Amino acid sequence: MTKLSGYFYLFAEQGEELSEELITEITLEKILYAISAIALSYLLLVSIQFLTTWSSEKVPRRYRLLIKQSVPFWKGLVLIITISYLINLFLNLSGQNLLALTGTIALTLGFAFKDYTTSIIAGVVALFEAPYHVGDRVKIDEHYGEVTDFGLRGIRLKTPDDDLITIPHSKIFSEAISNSNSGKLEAQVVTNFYFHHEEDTEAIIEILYQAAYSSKYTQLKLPIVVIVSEKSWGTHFKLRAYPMDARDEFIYQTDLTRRSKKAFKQMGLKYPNLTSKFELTDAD
Amino acid sequence: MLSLISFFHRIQSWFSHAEATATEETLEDLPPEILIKLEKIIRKLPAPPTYSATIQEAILSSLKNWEADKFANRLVILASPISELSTLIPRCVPDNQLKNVAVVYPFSDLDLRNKPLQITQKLKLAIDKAVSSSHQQKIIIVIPNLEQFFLRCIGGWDGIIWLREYIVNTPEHFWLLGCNDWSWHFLDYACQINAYLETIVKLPLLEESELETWLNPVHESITKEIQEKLPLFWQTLASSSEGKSEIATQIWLNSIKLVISEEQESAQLKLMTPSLPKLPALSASNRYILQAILLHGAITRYSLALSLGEKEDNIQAEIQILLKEDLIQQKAEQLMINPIHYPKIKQELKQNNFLIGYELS
Repeated sequence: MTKLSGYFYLFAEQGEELSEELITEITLEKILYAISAIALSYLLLVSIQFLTTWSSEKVPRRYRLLIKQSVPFWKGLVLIITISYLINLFLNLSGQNLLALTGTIALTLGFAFKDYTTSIIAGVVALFEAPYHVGDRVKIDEHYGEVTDFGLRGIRLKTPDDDLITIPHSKIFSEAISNSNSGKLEAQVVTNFYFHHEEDTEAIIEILYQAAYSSKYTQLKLPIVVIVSEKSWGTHFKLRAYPMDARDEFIYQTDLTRRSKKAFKQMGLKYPNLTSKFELTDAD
Repeated sequence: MLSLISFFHRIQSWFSHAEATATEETLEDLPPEILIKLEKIIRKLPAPPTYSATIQEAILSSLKNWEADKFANRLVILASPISELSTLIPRCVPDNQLKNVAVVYPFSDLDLRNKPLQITQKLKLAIDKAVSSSHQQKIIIVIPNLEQFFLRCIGGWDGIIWLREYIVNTPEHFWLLGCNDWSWHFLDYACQINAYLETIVKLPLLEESELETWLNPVHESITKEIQEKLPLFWQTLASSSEGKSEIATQIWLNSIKLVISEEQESAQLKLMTPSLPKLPALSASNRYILQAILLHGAITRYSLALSLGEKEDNIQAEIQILLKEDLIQQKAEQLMINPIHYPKIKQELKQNNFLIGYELS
């Protein structure tokens, strides 16, 4: 405790001693330059967001994610250049001053903006660890959707219901991040089907495979699998397949269900008789 | 190398167009009645010699193998979806070199895709009828367009599964199949057709000299006065058509323009640098329709709707737009891709993560 308070005292003392040398002379010209730099960087950030979103929707699918994933890089570049320019404009950065400044900033931010700083640091970690990219379809907590923006503090998710949810980067330290496509165009889609125990499993599996192979959305280059499991209330079939575009996820599920149900109807298959005794869980 | 030449010619063609506008001449397309006449004349031309030589050589060599090994009883000829294999293969079968062998076409009159679940039954009947009507011991059963006998829907390729088993298990007949390479690629994923029908010959790509030899009789008769650009013309035509005769024909027709000048009373012909027309902007649903048409070759609206898993009414409007844009054509209720747009549509679909055909080389 005494050692720590000693450090605080040292920084505070250094801060007082260096304050005159650290900050350069502030003139009207410098203030105008700074305002211009901030306005320009804001304009650039808005333009980057607009241009990347616009162009990624215009180019062929293959390049969509490539453009979207470059957003954090361009934004980061603009911020670093702007901050460096402002620091250079107003501060006299010798080695000693830099050390004192970082110490002071760390202390200030550490106490005053703890959560904000954690999110910014997590954002930098997220850039390197890449648990999500712009364009990925992720699930964080109970929220699922497409990452539409990668900001300094957090990301924005667009949910299937068209809601926009902002999630701080700091969640990567505490929550499991489920990413469906990890920077790829395709994401696996699981479609569930339920039948009575007595129904012909082989015939159902064959129809499910054919439904997947015949759907116009299916990416045939990726594997199609049917998983069967027995439950107390019936037989559960999971059809795992990939649409050519992860965005088609729900319309793809609908197409698979429509195609399969048509064939099941022709075969006269029976669905399970669910009573109040049996309740489906999320795992089903 | 071919793509490099193609890129060079594309750049060159921009300058060529610029030159045409600078002289204040009005360039017009040939009148539709002349285009139809020219298309008819081209259709009457014999098949490009490279195509017939490749097909005949493959047939004779496969028949020889069949003599030695009864289970080597099949040959598949693959071509792009715009290739007219249904007319090309019958024209290239070397009838005069086949002694004591009957060539039968069991499915020539069948239109099966409207009822996909009945395809297998109808195929069985047609084959039995064709085989029983032949008096020869050796029979070559020709199916020039295999893609006409399946549909992308549940149960839609059961006929192909039955046929592949039947072919493998009937060594007493020789099977000559033609197929669109997009369909073949799909069928290989859906029912592993490559593992059964493994003897495959791909239709070759035509070189500039081969295209010139083939088209020259018509070309010379119409463009006698304009000879100076010819070597470069054929080179550009071969690269922009990707060596496919159907595309080359359309580009050739498109490159002949009528020059309307105020000074001269009569119109003159001008040969433009061959180039592919610009592809209009396509929506996601446009792409699904185009891919389905390419997958099935020529297809009716009803069957197309089945393949897309949509109601026919839902796709009518988009089909009309695609017809208006001339991306697709309609002949006797069958929809097909306009060959001149094929290279760019293929590229567009590839860039959008669609499954396209095998790359023919």
